[in-house]
Amino acid sequence: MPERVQRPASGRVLLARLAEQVIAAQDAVSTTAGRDGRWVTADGDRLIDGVVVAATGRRLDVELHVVAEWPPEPLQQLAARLRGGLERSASNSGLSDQLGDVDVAIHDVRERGDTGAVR
Amino acid sequence: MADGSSITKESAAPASSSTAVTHRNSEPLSSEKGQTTITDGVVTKVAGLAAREVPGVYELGGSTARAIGNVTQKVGLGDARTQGVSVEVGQREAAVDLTVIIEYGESIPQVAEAVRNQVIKRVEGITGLSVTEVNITVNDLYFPGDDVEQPPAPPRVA
Repeated sequence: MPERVQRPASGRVLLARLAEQVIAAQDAVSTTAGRDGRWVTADGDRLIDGVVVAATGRRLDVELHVVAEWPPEPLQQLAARLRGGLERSASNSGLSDQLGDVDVAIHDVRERGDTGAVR
Repeated sequence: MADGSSITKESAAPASSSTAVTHRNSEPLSSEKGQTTITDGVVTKVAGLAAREVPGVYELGGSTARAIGNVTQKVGLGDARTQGVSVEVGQREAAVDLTVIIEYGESIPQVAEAVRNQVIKRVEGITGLSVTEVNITVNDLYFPGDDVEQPPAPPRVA
């Protein structure tokens, strides 16, 4: 079996990892890959749920697909917090020149323990 | 109580700040750093959960909706939290229709008003939409014994 070549992660994957970490660090919010698993980014052998990074010109636009926990804070604040967190992380990682728009889509509100699928 | 005994009121919410939140099926909130999209399902869920927070509300949904809801939930297609809730969402405003079952003994007008206030508070606070009306249909009353399974009647003859 041929040995798998380890390649350095692209800026797209690095931004997706940062986005995953930013969301994971927040209380009362989680990611969703969607009903048919379309909101993901492939990172080697694994998938990063709820994060889509796509090149637009010279920059990389990021979509964050999330579910808020009940009772949520005002959703605009939540979106701004996620956006700001990713901008700071990208800046700290030297990726701010690659980061484009950060779109946040809130798909559901769930009570703690509710693991129902996003419709 | 038969279906159809209803109280329907409309309440115009105070004019709130015109937060430009928009929703799926329309344009999302735009800023120079990106867009924020709140799906209509989120508004429905917020309204349903808010109504359930009010003491005296036993359940949401009419008897038919609940019967169908029980089936759809079992096959993973339904969600009890959106049962009995219908919303119409515009660019900046939302209208909410609720069907509720109230516990017997509670004041229906007081519970309905509390539900209306709670739904307005939550939807406006969480989504930034201005709630123009909350229409409430009280569909049934709940008696505490309704859930208790009755033992079979003893035979009348030996």
